[in-house]
Parts: sequence; structure tokens; C-alpha cells
Amino acid sequence: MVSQKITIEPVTRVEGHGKITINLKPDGKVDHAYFHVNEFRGFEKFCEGRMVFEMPTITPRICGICPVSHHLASAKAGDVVFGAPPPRTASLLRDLTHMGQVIQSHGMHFFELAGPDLILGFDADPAIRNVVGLIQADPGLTLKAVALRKYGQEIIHMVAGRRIHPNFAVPGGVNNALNPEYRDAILKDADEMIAITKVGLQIFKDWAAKNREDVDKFAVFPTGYLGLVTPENALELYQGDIRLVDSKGDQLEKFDANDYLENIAEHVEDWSYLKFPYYKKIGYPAGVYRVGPLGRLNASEKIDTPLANEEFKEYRAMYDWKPVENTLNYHYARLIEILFAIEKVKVLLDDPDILGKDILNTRHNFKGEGVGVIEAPRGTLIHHYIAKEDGQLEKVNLIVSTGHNNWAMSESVDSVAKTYITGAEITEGILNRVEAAIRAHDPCLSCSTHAVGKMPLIVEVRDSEGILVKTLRRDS
Amino acid sequence: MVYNFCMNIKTLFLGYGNPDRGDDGAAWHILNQLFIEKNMPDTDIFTADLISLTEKVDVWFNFQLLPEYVETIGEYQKVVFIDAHTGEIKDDLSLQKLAPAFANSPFTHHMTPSSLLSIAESITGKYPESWMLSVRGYEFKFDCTLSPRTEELCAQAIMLLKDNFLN
Repeated sequence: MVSQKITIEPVTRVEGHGKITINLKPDGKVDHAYFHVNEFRGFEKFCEGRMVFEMPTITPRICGICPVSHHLASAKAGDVVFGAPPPRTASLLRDLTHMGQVIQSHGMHFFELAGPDLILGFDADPAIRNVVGLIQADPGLTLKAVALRKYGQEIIHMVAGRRIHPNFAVPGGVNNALNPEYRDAILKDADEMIAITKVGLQIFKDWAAKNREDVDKFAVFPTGYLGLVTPENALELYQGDIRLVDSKGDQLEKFDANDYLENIAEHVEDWSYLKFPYYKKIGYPAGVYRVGPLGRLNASEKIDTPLANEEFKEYRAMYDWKPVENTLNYHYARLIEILFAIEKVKVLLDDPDILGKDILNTRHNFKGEGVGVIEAPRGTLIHHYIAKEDGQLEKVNLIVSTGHNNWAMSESVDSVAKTYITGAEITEGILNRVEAAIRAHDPCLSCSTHAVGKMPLIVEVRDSEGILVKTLRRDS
Repeated sequence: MVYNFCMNIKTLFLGYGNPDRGDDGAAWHILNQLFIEKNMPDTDIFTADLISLTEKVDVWFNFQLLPEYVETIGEYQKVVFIDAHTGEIKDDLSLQKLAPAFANSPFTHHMTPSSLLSIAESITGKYPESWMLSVRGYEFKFDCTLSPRTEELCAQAIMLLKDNFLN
């Protein structure tokens, strides 16, 4: 048997999507597997020449999945550029909108994208291993999932005025105060959403207990971990310093977002268009780190809301408070973060200042340069702007969440491929596990683009001389 | 085939795509032109939610399709999805009736109109009569304008919408 190459490539309309290549040795074992991203970073150039105050409405167009995160990170960068820190009420309202984004995005991921693998099984018939199969298997659960996602969307709608692409946050604050009726409406359903999230947590715990072997061999590897924290190192998603811990959980750095270039650099590999961020002082690849739910909980020492903190303690105790390295635990961490976000919604809405009318700081002290950082559902999102005195942008740099996790996604693919492909026939279930290694990170590669029709997987098997031996296509 | 039987006899034009990615924004250009021709040129379909175009037709524009749209499309008797394509559909301009069919997306958040109908059917047992109006796109760079060929197709697409759903 000659060596072979397998390519898993969703066929899509434009660049900005990824594919997986698995190189097999002559004995059928995996030589190396890669996750490539054909990402075109043209958006930064597209933004240069625009005005800073336009950016909170332009940058959400990067992404149809987490537009609110870009909207808020952009407004935060604008705050610094204009030297206009927002009034407290505005910060509370932005934070509330962000919690809506986290709830809807995480809710969708767990119940609708990861759920089919966990509830129906990695090896289930792909024709039913999807959200429709989930509806048929457990209609009650699916309706709960829809309700949770809708709750998050409605928070965004009520607070920011539009469900998908709000025009709400502006440099210096927000442009709309909160209606007291909306506050009451959001609060009314919060406990029901907590109950739904607890159902999700129990589903994951039960699944993990029955599938411990998978959890413990599925893409388990050490990295650093990065995320926003409070001054006391509690989990924070909107406002805080960036904390980076090493693979043992010891703090490497804690820094203000405006100092990110002193700590983060980006490496280029010739097999991916997406760069590989790493901790500058250690270098690449030793300084790579993970972001998103797993990274954030590893970078945090506690959670400031009671229910989420109880779950956090149970989660971290599983591995004696060492960093959790198991990629499948991204799902567990994501559910804990939903719980935190709903509890945070209650905290924010109970704050008397949430109904304040002082929502915009119009006194500017122009600085010309600013960085906005936020914990998007998928991980740390950095917007960095440099502007001329009239507010026109000269330079834009964006480090998106999926970029931070680039190395980890590729390592996960390599690890899962080597663990599960052992020279025997490569089944659909095994390929699904390789894809699931990517899905666990919940990457956002679609970047506001889409395609008419299905997204088939093309699997090409090539021999060591590059000759196509076999092509597999599955449209499910 | 179980279509919605609802009191609301309205039609929804549900366009999606990214107006900042050249021809990917074909649906936005089509829907925007409909409002211009209705003497409503200031209508901002990008930042608004659902907007009435006529007594019987509402318009909704989004970047991409999401599962919760099931609830909204379920309120309409008929839905016309409007999007661009890259040539995977035989005709440059195509109007096709849709049936529910779920398509998995390996590791993205991609969702098709037929997937949306499939979810609607699974949850509620019904789905609206639906059509896909698809326009061939040629240029998908970061640009707010259409390529000349797609611009011409969009003009034809507007005529199709008028002939089949507006007049």
C-alpha cells in the first residue's frame, strides 16, 4: 500500500472556509493531519479609509454568526480612539447585549451543532445525525433549545433594537436607554432559561460518564490558555484584563488589551492562510494557547455568579484544578458559560443604573489609536484602530477568536486522526470525529457568506505520487 | 406536501447575503430596488427587521439563514428566498420551488432554505410554500457593488418577482 492523502473540504462559494487534509503512511496509519483555513483577510483593508464612528456598523458584516461581538469590540476600540469612556449605564447595557449574544450563540452550538453528535452518537446515520434527527428523537428538548436561543436573541432585540445586526453601541456609549418593560420581560424568563441550561449540563455529564474513554483520548493536549478576567481573576466576558496561563495553570501575563502587541505575535505557516497567534515571550509553537470556553475557564480561578461557580468548581475538580485539556470539554465549559451569562443578565437587570438615561459621553479627548477587546462566544476578539485627527482610519488590525484557536484546531484534527484512524477502513463515523474536533471549537469560518445548495464533503484519496486513487463525496 | 394553512395570506421575500462582498449581496440590491420603485428610497432594509413592501408582501434581509427563522417563515403562506449562486445551479437566473431537505454543514454554521423548511416541518408538521430565486454571482471580493453581469441578472430577477409574486 502506498501512502495516501485524504482531503475533507466543504465546497463553498468564497474563501474564508477550511478543509482538512490527512496524509496516510503506506501502512494506513496517519502521518500528519492538517486543518487549513483559506481565509482572506481583506476586511481590514476594506475598513481602512472609513471613519471610526462607522466601524461598529461596518464590522458586524464580517460575521453573520457573532455580529454583536464585532459591534461591541468595535465600539470599545472607538471609545479609546476618541478618548470617550462610556457612562456606567452604557457599559451595563453593552454587557447585557453581549450576554444575549453569548446565550444565543452557545445555546445554538450545544443543542443544534454539537447535540446531534452527543445525543444521537458520532456513529449514527448521518442522514439523521442533525438537528432534524434531534427533533425527531427528542422534540421536547429541541423546543427547549429553540427557546434558549430565542431568549438570547430577544435580549439583543429589546436592548439593542435589532436581533441580528444592531446599530446600538457607538464610541462613547450607546444610543438607546432600556425600556423598564423590557427589563421586566427579560427577567421574567431568566429562571426558565437557567432550568433549560441545567438540562443541557446534565445531558453532557451523562454522556461524558458513558463515554469517558472518548473524552480522555479525543484531542487531549497541553497549551496555554487565554481570556478576560476580573481583577480577582474571575471569568469575565465584556470588560477586564487579558490573562494568559501556561499548561500548568500558572499565570504568564495579565495585561491591558491596549498592550496586546507586546504579548501576542502571529506566526505564518505555508499551509494555511489564517495566521497562528502565540505568546511572544515564549515563541512559536511553544507559546500557542487556546481561547473560547475551555481557554477562558482555564484562565479563570472562579466565577462570580453562584450557580455557574458551583458548576465551575465541579468542572475544575475533575482534573484536580489543573487546566482541562480535553477538547470535548469545550462543550461542558460552554454550558457553564451559558449559566453564567443568564445569571449575569439577572445581575445586570437588578442594577439600578441599568435604567439610567446617561448613556453617551459626548466629551471627546481624541487619542487616535485604540484597542477594543471582548470575549466573543468563540474566544477573545481584538479590534485595533489607528485614525487620523478627523477620525478616518489609517490602519485596522483584527485578531478574531477562530484565529487564536488556529493551532489548537489543527492539533486537534491531527490528534483525533492519529487516535481513530488505525489503518483499517475509514468509516463515516471516524471522519465525523475528525470534523467534530473542529466543531468543538465552534469556529466561525463562514464570515457572512453562504452558498446555495448543499455543502458536500469531498474526500480525496491520493497515493504517494499524488495520483487520485479514490474520490468520496457525501452530501449529508 | 403539507403547506401552512394560516390566516395570514402574505408572502415573505427573504433575501440573504453580504452586501459588502460584491455579488454575494445580490438579494440586497434586488430588494432595495423594489423599495426604490415603490417610491420608498429611504427604506433601510439592512438595519430594519421585517418591512412591508405591499399589503401582501413583506421583506426581510439577513446575512445568512439561522434556525430560529423557522418561527418567522411559519407566519407566512408563501416565502421566496433570494440569494446568489456561483454556478452550481444550471441557469444563471433560476426560480425553483423548494422542498424540505436537511443538509449537514461539517464545521460551519451554514444553513440552506431547504434545511430551514425541514426544521419547520419537523417541529410544526408544516412549512410554507417556498421558492428559491437565485442569481448567478461572479465577483465576491470586498466591494459594495455588483459585477455588470450580475447587475443585469438582478434586473431580470426583479421582473420575475413582479410577474410571479407582486402583480
